[in-house]
Amino acid sequence: MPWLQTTVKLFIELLYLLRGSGISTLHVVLVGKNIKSAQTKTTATLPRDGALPGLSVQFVAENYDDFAAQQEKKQPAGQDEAPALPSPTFPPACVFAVNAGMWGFDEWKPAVQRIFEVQLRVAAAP
Amino acid sequence: MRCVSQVKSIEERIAKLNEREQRNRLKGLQREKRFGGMNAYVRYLNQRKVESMGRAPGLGLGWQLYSPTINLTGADGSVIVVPDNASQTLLDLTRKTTLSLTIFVALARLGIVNAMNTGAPAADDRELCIHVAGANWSEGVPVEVRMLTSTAASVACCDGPPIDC
Repeated sequence: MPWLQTTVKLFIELLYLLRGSGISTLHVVLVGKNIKSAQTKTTATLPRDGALPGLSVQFVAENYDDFAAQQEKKQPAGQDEAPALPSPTFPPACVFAVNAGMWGFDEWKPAVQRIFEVQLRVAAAP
Repeated sequence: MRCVSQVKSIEERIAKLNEREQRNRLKGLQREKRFGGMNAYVRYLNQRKVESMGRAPGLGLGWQLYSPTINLTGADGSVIVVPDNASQTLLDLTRKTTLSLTIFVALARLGIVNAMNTGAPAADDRELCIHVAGANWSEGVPVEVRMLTSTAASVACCDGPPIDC
């Protein structure tokens, strides 16, 4: 899978920028329905190297709203519920949509709504 | 009458300028077509190769700093170590640095990471997660390569047996 390697390499420069900022590992989750099913079976990782953070890149072949809804179901709903194991990949610190073509596709509407809700929850968290 | 002739003269000059610009534009397009649709700057970036210095955590961000290897872990836990290219074109490196800087500046502006870091290891280590929504199977792959692959896949889908494309 040569494309997978190309995609992972995109984030390596970011590791150099994150040196010394207190980040031990950077988790990147690429979510999109145009991701191939073969890619979802592979996680790309780079170990931590001194001040350089480690990297983990995962692929999810779904629309973002479906993915976020599934992840939220895994989170504890109320205070009485037993706390789930903390997931390193949800909720995210930030959601990026690079060259996403939001201008042309109505299916982005629920995804944007979901991103807004997720980010509000992250901002409100202690 | 004098005024009308002046206006005419100005209009003629504008028309000449437009014509010259159009001619130059066409020449430029023809030139780019000869070089695979790349203008002079992109052609320069695509021809100039940079050798890797490997991983150098002590140094700052630079063209030569990229990882020589990447580990790919499969669903069954198997790890494949794939080598990065020994050298990359400036176009590849520009693509990578643009995305990384964009993400980093956004994280810094939102106060998620400290932009004024010194490069020294920090005491409080934490994990950072970012999501990329609307990602494609070919993120980071040059557009011309992506288009060639998509076209080939479409042809294969139409002509041959069904494949995953």
